[in-house]
Amino acid sequence: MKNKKIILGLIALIAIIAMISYNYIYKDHRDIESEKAAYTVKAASFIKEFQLNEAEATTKYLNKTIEIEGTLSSIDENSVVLEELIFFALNKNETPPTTDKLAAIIRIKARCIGYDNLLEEIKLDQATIQ
Amino acid sequence: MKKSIYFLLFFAGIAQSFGQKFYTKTGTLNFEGAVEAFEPVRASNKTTTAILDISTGKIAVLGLVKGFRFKNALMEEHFNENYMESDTYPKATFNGIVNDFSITNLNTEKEYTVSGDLNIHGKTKKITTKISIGKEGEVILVKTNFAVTPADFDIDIPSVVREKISDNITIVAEFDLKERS
Repeated sequence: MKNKKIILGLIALIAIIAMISYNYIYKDHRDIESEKAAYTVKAASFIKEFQLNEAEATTKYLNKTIEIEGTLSSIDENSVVLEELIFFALNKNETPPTTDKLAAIIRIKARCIGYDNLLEEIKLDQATIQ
Repeated sequence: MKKSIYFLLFFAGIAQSFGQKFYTKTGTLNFEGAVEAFEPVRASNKTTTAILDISTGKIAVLGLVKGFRFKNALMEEHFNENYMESDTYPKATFNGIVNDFSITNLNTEKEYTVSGDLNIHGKTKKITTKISIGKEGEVILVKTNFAVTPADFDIDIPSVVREKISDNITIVAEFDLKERS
């Protein structure tokens, strides 16, 4: 009787450990769309921060979810650009804005992946238009 | 008067030679680093910048490390935090030159060699590899693949996972370049 209890207890323990490790190994990706933005900024001041001190701005914004407001300057198949210098790769299921939104002020939430010094652009991915 | 025309022509000439650049912001870098493991170690970066100067054959590539997406979230986390240390080294770059590059041959796809400096994890290594360049309409298609070793870039693979991560990591790059206006 006592043995049975111990065995049952062990099985339950193993099951729990297996479940926890499974959830750890196969945990979900971050969902930028539903994450609360760590920073809400205007496009112009965001650009300025990177132009003034790339390293500092990178440390501050890298991998963070940011909401940016600015003028939409170009639209591509899977990406948009705000104020010529902020590039957004759109989230998987996000439809790009229609061309009548060009030059309009829009808000985009995305994750900052870094500064591209070849084109002097800031890059973000998993973008959703707010 | 004549002088100033020459002057203008001279500068127009400079502008011309600087203007022959083709680029993309959405180039693809894929890497595969698995030995036949239970799970593939594979990631893709679709936000790579590449610029080719067709008057000189110079090529510059910049991939942001955080932009590599894995199917497995934990693998992505380990890649960034333990191996690439992408908070400290957010960029992977290549600066090189396509050997014997000629603009006139662009219309048919041709294989060249490219040599230059590959910088990953803050370490630079000279590499030479094959690159294919062709033109389709207004777009220049660039394709290359090469292998790198983590040790060359001071990337430590802990012994626990060493059996699952190959010594030779294959990187496949594909860029569709458009003229920069």
